[in-house]
Amino acid sequence: MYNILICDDEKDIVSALKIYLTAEGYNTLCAYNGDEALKVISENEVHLVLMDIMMPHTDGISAMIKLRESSNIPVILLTAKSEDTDKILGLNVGADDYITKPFNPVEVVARVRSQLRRFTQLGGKLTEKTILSIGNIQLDDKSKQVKVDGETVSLTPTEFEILKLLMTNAGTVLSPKDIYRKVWNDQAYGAESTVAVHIRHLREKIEINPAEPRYLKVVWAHGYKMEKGV
Amino acid sequence: MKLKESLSAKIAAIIFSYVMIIVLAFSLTATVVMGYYKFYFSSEDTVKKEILTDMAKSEAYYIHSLLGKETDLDNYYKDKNVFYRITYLDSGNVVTNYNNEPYIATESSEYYKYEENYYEDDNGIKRWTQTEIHIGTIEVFVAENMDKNDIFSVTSKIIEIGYSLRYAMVFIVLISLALEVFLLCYLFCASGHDQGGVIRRNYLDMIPFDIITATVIIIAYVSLLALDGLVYDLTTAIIYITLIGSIDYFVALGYTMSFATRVKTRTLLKNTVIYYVLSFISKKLKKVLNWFKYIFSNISLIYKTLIIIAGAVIVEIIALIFIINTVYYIRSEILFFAIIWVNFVLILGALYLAVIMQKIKTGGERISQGDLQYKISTEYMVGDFKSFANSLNNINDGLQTAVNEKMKSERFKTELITNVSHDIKTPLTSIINYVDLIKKQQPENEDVRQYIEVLDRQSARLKKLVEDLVEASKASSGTLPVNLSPCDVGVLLTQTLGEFEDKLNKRQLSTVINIPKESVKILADGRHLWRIFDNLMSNVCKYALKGTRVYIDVKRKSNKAVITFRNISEFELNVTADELMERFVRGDESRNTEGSGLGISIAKSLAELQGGCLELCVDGDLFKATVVFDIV
Repeated sequence: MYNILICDDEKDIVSALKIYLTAEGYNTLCAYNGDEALKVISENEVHLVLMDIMMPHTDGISAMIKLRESSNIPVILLTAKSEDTDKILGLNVGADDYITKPFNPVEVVARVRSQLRRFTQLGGKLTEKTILSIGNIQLDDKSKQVKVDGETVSLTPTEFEILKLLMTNAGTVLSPKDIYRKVWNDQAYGAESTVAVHIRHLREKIEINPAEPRYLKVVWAHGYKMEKGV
Repeated sequence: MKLKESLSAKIAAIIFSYVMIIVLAFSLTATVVMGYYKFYFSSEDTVKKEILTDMAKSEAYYIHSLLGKETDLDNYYKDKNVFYRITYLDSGNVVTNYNNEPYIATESSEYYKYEENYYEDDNGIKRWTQTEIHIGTIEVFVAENMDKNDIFSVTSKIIEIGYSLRYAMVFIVLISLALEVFLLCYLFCASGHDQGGVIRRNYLDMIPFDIITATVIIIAYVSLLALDGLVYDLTTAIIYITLIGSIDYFVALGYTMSFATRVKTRTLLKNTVIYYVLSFISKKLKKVLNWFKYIFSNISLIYKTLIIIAGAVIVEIIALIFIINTVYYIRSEILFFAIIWVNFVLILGALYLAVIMQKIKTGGERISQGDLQYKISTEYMVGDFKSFANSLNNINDGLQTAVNEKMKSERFKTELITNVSHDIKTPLTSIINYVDLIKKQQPENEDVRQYIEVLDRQSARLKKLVEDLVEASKASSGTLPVNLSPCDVGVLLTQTLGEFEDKLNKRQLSTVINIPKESVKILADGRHLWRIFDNLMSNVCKYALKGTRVYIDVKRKSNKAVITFRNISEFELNVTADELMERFVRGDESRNTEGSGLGISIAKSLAELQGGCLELCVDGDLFKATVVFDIV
């Protein structure tokens, strides 16, 4: 049983999230501003924090800076600000993830699960040679198995090959043509859109929100790349 | 300072200075006379003897004149301290009243008579000669003890007094001179000063300076003339000189004091008749000039030009007449150079005009191209050209202000939209979440389930609408950061089609793609470019007729990349392409399909933000979107 702190000045949102997370089997604690959140954390054992940025008294950013002085528990920011600069600021001051409002409750639950797995189970172990690992994704070339957040994901052979190629070249942008040539072992004559379709499917399988991918990024007009250090 | 302002002090100073000048004049005259008679180098006796000898000499001359008048000399010299002795040369007779009394000074004079002889010369003209006949010697003796009261005894007494006072007199000269200078200095300083520290002009100072100067000169001239005709005896002369001198002194004092006041009040040159006349003339001239200026500035440019041309023609005609009349006296080279000079001046004028016109033209072009910072330099410009250039500059200023205002309001709008949308997002989150929760309850009533379906769909649409709204306002106000880099259109198109494959399949749309074999690279921001393609393809998926083909072409046209999306619209397009570009306008009137109506507007703004452009074309049911970018 994990204790999750939900912190938002909008009480309806807190209770909605409470319902979803309780349904998933988590214990929930509530706070309605930054100060309350810090108080709850100091009094209880909290495993994960969901926190809004815009709150009265102490806002989410300040609360998180204070929290990070003593704790490294996962923090997911809930924000109505979708500006890139706000996201970067949130991540820079110590957030592990962020979800922009209005959010899909399913996505919130998925992200909570992902962060908890990563925090509790995967402490940066697993270094078998046949296993490629980036963030919460592990690709076992021997068993042709892919695990995301510890759960096995079923991929088609082509999707597996594409993922393997991208993971071995993590951080570099591969154009659809490159990917086609290497995966299909053939010259690509107008067949690159196949690659695009496969990658979209792949993204739907390994990403929580395919529209805002965390691992498999689309570099528009250039190609695709796997983020290196997630 | 108070002393300067006191009127009584000034009057006292004037009177005192007058007294001083008299003392000075007297003592100075005495000193000069004494100096002349060597009072300061000789003994009293020597001086006395010399002066009395001089007087004896004049007495001898006097006797000379008396002799011709048969006067009784004895009777004449009865009451005088002088003796005479006349010795006749031819007879040896001596006429005298001198009996060897002791004398101080003596002087003798030869006694001559002149005889005139008239005669006629060889030509019969009357002439005369004069013959000098030595008759005898006149001697005059001045007695040593002067018991009678006459000029000699008085003179002797004066000499005695003068000799005893000779050094005191010098002292008096110096003292009176110093006092006089001091008093004059005071008077010049104080002149014009009135009570309360102000400098005020009196009636004398009001009179024009040149008139006063002329009056003073006349007075000086008249007094000189008066002194010139002075033939009276010493006493009268002294009175006369004193009187005239006094008048002149007061005139001079008044004049110089007035001069000082004028200098102090800075009216020396202004308060003159000449100045008045000159300023009057210049005022009138200015009026006339202004009148001409006014007339000239109020007539239209055409008439102005005509006047200038007419003037030039008249000058030329006069010059020509002059040349024709004098052509025999003027050497042809001079004529030649004159013509060259005239042409040179004309060319310079034409060049000047051309330069100004060029400047104004360039400015006008720059302004019309939207260069709002541009200012036409009005240096070296005159008259109408200057005012024209200034008008253009003012128009530009107005435009710039308007544009700045527009930018400001656009930014403000963006900020407002961002803030409002932020406030909408929070309640929207709750709506979406609780709708989802209700859905999870799986209500048994079929109607309720349908209602929930509607809520779900509409809340999703609202979410999309809010996001699009923020993006549209950001894109159109230009607050979005843009990182331009070379982008491969082919790759992007591939990626886009990959993203849309499912949606296209769902509506049974097939794509026909025409792309050049070599990659087409354009300068754009990949993410923004994807948004343009995304929005256009979303439109295609939403509005294309089921089961038709969608044509996507990439072409090179000179240095431009032209990307076109063509599809057959499902609904009748009864709006123009321009209307479709506007915000919240949608292809279907009923608006019951998904979408915010902002897609095309966002795409257009983003294209322009990256230096490209987006155009729509509606031809019946054929819908065509064209994106144009520069090729790298």
